[in-house]
Amino acid sequence: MASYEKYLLPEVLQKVARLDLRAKFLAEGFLAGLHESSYRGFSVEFSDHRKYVAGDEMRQIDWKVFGRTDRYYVKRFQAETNMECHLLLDSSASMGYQPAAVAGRFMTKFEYATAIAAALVYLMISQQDAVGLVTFDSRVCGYVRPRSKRSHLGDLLSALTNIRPSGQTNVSGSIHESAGLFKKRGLVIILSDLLDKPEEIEKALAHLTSRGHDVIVFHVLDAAEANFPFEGPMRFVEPETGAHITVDADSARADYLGAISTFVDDLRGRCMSAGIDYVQLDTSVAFDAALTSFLLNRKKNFI
Amino acid sequence: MPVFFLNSALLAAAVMALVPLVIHLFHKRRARQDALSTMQFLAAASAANKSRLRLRHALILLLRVLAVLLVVAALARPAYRGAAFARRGTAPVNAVIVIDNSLSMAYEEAGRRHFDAGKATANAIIAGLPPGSRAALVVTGLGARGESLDREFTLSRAALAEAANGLEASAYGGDCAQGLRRAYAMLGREKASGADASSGEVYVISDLARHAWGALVAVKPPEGAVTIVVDAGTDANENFHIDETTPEWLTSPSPHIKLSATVASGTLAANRLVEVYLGGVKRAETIVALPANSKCRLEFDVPVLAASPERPEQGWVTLADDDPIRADNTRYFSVASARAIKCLVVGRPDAGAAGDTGFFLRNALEPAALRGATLAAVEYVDWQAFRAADLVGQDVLILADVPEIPAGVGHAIDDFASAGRGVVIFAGESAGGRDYDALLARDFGVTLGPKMSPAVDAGASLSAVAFDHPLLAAFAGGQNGNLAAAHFLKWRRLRDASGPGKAVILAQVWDGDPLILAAPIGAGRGVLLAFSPTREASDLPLRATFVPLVNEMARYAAGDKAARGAGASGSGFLVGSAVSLAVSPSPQTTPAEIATPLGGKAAEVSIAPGAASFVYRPFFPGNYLVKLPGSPAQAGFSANIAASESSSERVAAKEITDAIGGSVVVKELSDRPLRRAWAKTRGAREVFDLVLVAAILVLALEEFLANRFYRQAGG
Repeated sequence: MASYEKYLLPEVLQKVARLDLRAKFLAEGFLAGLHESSYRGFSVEFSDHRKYVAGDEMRQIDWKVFGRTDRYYVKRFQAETNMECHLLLDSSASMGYQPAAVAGRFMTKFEYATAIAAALVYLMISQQDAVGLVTFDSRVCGYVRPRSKRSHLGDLLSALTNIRPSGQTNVSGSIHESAGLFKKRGLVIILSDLLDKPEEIEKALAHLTSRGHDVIVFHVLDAAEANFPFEGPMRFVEPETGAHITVDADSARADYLGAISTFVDDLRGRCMSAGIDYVQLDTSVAFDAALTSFLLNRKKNFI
Repeated sequence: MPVFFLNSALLAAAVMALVPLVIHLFHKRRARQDALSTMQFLAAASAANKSRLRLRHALILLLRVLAVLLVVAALARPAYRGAAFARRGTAPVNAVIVIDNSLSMAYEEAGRRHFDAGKATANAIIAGLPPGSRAALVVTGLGARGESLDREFTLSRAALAEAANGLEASAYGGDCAQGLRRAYAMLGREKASGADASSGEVYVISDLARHAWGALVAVKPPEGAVTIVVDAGTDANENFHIDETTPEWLTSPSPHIKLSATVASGTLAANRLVEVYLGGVKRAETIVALPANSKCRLEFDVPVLAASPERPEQGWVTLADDDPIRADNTRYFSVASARAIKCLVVGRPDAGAAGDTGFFLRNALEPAALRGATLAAVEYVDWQAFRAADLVGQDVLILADVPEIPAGVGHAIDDFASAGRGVVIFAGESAGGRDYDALLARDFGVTLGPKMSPAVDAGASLSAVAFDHPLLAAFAGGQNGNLAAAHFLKWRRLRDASGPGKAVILAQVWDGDPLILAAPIGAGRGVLLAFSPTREASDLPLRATFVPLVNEMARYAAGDKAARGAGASGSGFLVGSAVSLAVSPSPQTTPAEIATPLGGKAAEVSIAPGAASFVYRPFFPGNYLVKLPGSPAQAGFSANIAASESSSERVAAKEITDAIGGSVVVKELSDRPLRRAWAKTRGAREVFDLVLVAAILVLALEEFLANRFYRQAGG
């Protein structure tokens, strides 16, 4: 494994304290992993050539250069610089809590989402896209307007660093509220645990798509929430409301996993029907899944 | 109740069932807590989960509690009484075997005693008890030393069988009703102790003789107990026995024992030889023809050949032929001889044999003269040597027509008589003088008058003899000779002296002269005979009636000194009862030796200081001799079996079943009523093994479910 690629693993990246470094390691690790993949070159603007190596797609060979030089070169492109991207980061209290069952082994949902956000910011700023940041809990509680300058990277990373998860969640309301902030259509990336009513979320996402935004939903769950590793009699406390319930974890596991699977499938179905990319993540999943999804979306829209 | 516990005390350990409950509650409070943002997805399942969780907890808890309860129940030895087990009878019981060891149980029939058959029955009962049973033994009578023979509950059948086999029929066999009460009390104590909840079985092995069931009143057995009376007796009682013996000491005409005995028959009529033994020697026998169920009173006169005032006469009456019960064929008797009366005879030995006024008196009283058949000890002194000091130690003074009362002795005679002793004065032709008149006037109110002779040569006979007076009562029936047949040739007429003495005339001659008078002298007695005890004065000394007359006079004059011998004597004592023996109080503890019929070393009894009597309890029929401290004399008594012990009357089975609730009377252990009784007490099976298996299964199920429910909970 290349030195950067290891940072795609959450358990490795969580050892990097500084968010800017996290963003750099994550983005560069991701890009390094893409070195021999097909994901590079989805930008619409030509960047440079490089020698063809085995495994490159044939369709990416610049046949004109071959005609002139009789050698195989592959075109490389740069992304457009005028795309506006909004990151909607859920900063409610539920994003910050982590069950003791997985504490120390994985990041919290908020840390995980922040790392993805930072990596995306890094990538997009590198491609000179304008990136903005909206944080919300029960309502929008922070907004950084999108810019594409290199210096904006520091602002965004600084903003991400300073967020502390708190408050109750109102995902749909916050999306509705955010939609009013975006003057120009672009890409909206939502990072949240989406603990809200699916139909309300669907309406809020429809609000975004109706304004012409491309939407990617990163549904971030904690590894414990996704896998329910609890055993025996458990007393669960809801971090936002303080409500509690005592169950036998073993006997409740199947019901829980079924319920959360239904919830995820419901959300996925609603997103698919609305043409929205839906990526379900948990804090034990490698970051490249999230970033790949982002790039696929970019490719879908710009090739 | 179908299910009961043989060791119910251990049920208290059921409190251990709280332990899993406490552990359960303790763990319930310690459910681990964690945060979960997606708790809403649990909520949907929580209701069902909660119910399921509670159900599982409750199930596990129930299984754990049940396991503890089952283990406790198994240790408490549960038993189930059901129809299925009624015939097998395997439930342990608490059995008390009451053995009637009264004398009637010694009845021998067809070469075997009822008591031996009863012991065999007891052994069969013990051997037939279900495994795990506890048994006790109650013996209605006491042991050979008066000790209780009862045995408390034990699991050891061998020990109980050994105790039963060591029993013997007793002459004081006790009361079956009392034995039953003791048995019920034992069962009650066993039940109250809570150590055992087995059913109770009380067996009474008895011949149903009424004497052993006489006090049978309504007896209530403990709850759940059955009483089984095994009839070991028979209605055909062919036993002969001696009911009673009554000995009486008589001295007239010579010392002898008048013995009466009652011989009784059972359902058999037969002739029986009855023998009387005295001092170990057969002295009389007779054959008596006894009809069935009859009694015959026999009387024997047994001469006492060598009476001794130092010991009682003892003997026995026995039926010579064997019969079903031998122990009641002999009855013992004791009778105390009269104490020797010390007589001082003052006479005129110098007058030669023909004129010796004391000659006939001495021969009538001296033991040597009559081969020891008399009770008097005689001293003979010449009237001229007679002094007041000679009266010391004497009981009776006899003045045999002495010529004079020596000077100064007259008042000594008064004092002698007034101190409770006796004076017999023969005042005939020789008597005279002022001192005589003064003495007779003081003591009898008479003085000596003229010498009298009868008008005819044949002499005068006695008339108006007071046979109702104690002195002459022995002559009333003529058995001691005809006193009135004597002829008197010479006598003295007595004159009324108007003195303080007041005499009673006991006999007089035909013309009215009193010849025999009696008068009290202070605490003593005086007898005055107005003739000389010589053949010249009358033919009385030559007659057979003379010796009894002299002895009766001596006995009468001696008063209380002639009472029966020292200590307690008699034949009316029963074995096992207390005999009180009188002794002279002593300032220190004194020993007394009692020779028992068993022979060997005599029993030793300590008499407490100052005690006027002590009590001894004879436990064997026979004659007992008691050597009293500080005295050469011996007391004696006889202990016999109560006549009721030989009674052939039996109690009807219905009387027993009416008196004892839920009881049955059977003849054999195979009888159907006994089987039915056993169905009540033993018709159950101990289910210890099943309960233990159930406990193991419950534990296994609990383990399985706990592993299934909580298999990862320990992490």
